[in-house]
Amino acid sequence: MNSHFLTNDLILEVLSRLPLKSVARFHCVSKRWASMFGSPYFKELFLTRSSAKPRLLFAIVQNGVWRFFSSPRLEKSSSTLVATAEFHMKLSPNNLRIYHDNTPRYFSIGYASGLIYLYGDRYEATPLICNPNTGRYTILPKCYTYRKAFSFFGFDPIDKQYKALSMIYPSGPGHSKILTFGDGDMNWKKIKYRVLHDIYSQGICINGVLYYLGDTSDWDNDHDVTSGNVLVCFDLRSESFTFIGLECGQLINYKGKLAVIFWDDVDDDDVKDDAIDEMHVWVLEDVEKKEWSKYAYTWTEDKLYRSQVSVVGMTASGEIVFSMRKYTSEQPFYVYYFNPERNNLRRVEIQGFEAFTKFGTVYTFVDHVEDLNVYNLKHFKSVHPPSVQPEYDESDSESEEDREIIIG
Amino acid sequence: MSSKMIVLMSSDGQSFEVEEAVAIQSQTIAHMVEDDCVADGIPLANVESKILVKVIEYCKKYHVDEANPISEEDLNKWDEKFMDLEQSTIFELILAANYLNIKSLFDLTCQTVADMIKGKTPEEIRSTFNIENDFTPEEEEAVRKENQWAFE
Repeated sequence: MNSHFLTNDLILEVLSRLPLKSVARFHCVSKRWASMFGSPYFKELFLTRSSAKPRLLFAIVQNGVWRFFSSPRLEKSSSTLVATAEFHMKLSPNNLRIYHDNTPRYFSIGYASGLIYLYGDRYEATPLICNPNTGRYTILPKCYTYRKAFSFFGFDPIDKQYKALSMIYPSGPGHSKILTFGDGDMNWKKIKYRVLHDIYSQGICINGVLYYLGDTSDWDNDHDVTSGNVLVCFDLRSESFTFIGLECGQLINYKGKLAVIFWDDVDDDDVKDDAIDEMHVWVLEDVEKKEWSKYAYTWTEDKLYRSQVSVVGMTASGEIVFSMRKYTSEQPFYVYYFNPERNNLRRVEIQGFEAFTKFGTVYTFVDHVEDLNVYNLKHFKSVHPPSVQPEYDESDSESEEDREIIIG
Repeated sequence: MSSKMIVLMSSDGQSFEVEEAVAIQSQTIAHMVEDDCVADGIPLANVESKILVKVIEYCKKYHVDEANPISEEDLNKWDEKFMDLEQSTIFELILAANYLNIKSLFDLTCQTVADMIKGKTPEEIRSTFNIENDFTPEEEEAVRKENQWAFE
């Protein structure tokens, strides 16, 4: 066979392995290629390929300005010591700044299936969803929240919809609401639930369930509800809550399940030792049955310092990933991989930030994928309206009767 | 202990003797072995000798056992050297890996081509794949504008 003329399906196999940026650029190669890239078949194939090689996404914020970078995730078989992060975009449209805060009450960040959700200063009321690869973003409709408010973001893989959840502080005015982000209109819709709880952490979405830490202690809930610190599980599709008693810890995606990572002296008010060389990993095997698998690991070399790193996720080969919380150009930035089978820690230096920013707070996500389905969403193509202060809406006030209604 | 050998015949009439255990990395060949129709050798009408040599080299390297205890990391390094080929040869390898149904070779060859073309301009892509531009200049400009960020 002399001609190296690949058949159409083989060309698609090659193209499905390209980065999103190249696919975007090649839309203008020909009408046939543009239509191929838009076909459901290709979009699914592209997502399958991207999901097989997820990347690390770094969101670095400095003075309200966000910059996004990504790098390959580097599985166990890699002996790479240095990886270069690719810069994608800077988010500060029309001088909109989204100030980060360590308290979930004042700042929310969520990642789900290719998109980032940010909700900073409540007073500005500009929650936004952006695609960190392309720079496209959309500002969500205003959602009135009074002082304390918490929000989360997730993806329902069954109905293939993104949802944002805004939870109010139970003793305050306003309503908790949910918004579905897809090709249709965006509206915040009130949700009702009967278990009142305070909220202590950012959320993580795994397989259509949103998890975050809360506390039911301060409210008079029904007797069958766990009182105290809880893991809150919100099913995005049925929009229903489950509560599981849990003290605290950092939440990660453990090969498709939720896991909580914590250290022994976590109850001490006066934490003496910043260095960590042991950890507990509890994996939630079954949400309904509230069953956990529990593991404990220790290692002797290379300590990690809890003030410097946070645990961010797990690789397909089972290594637990830690990433530094802050970046400064004066010091190397590391991502650490802990191998529980061998009880050892390896680290990879990430370079590539210094040309774009000198310092900042870093949020790391380990399951970043590129998805053509979100690339084409109509909301990312329109120009966003100017920010307007939301006014207190009479219909937002709730009565005791509202609270009593239980959704079925 | 002697290993079972089978004979593979290229489209241009050359014969290659290969260990069966190595050859059945090709699902196509594996099925033929199961159906027991390999006695007179397996004719591969779609694969030239020049390409078959490379396929056999790949399968031998990837047949990992006590005689060939190679690590995943070393395999990855070997892949890089193995793929240092002319673009047309790589295209032929894609076709062969597809026909012979060798998943890992297919993934490797497709990814290699993707990496080779990812930085190209639309014009260069048209020339690589022999594609005619059927957009009018205005239409093309509109599509470019929609994807402006990808050109920066």
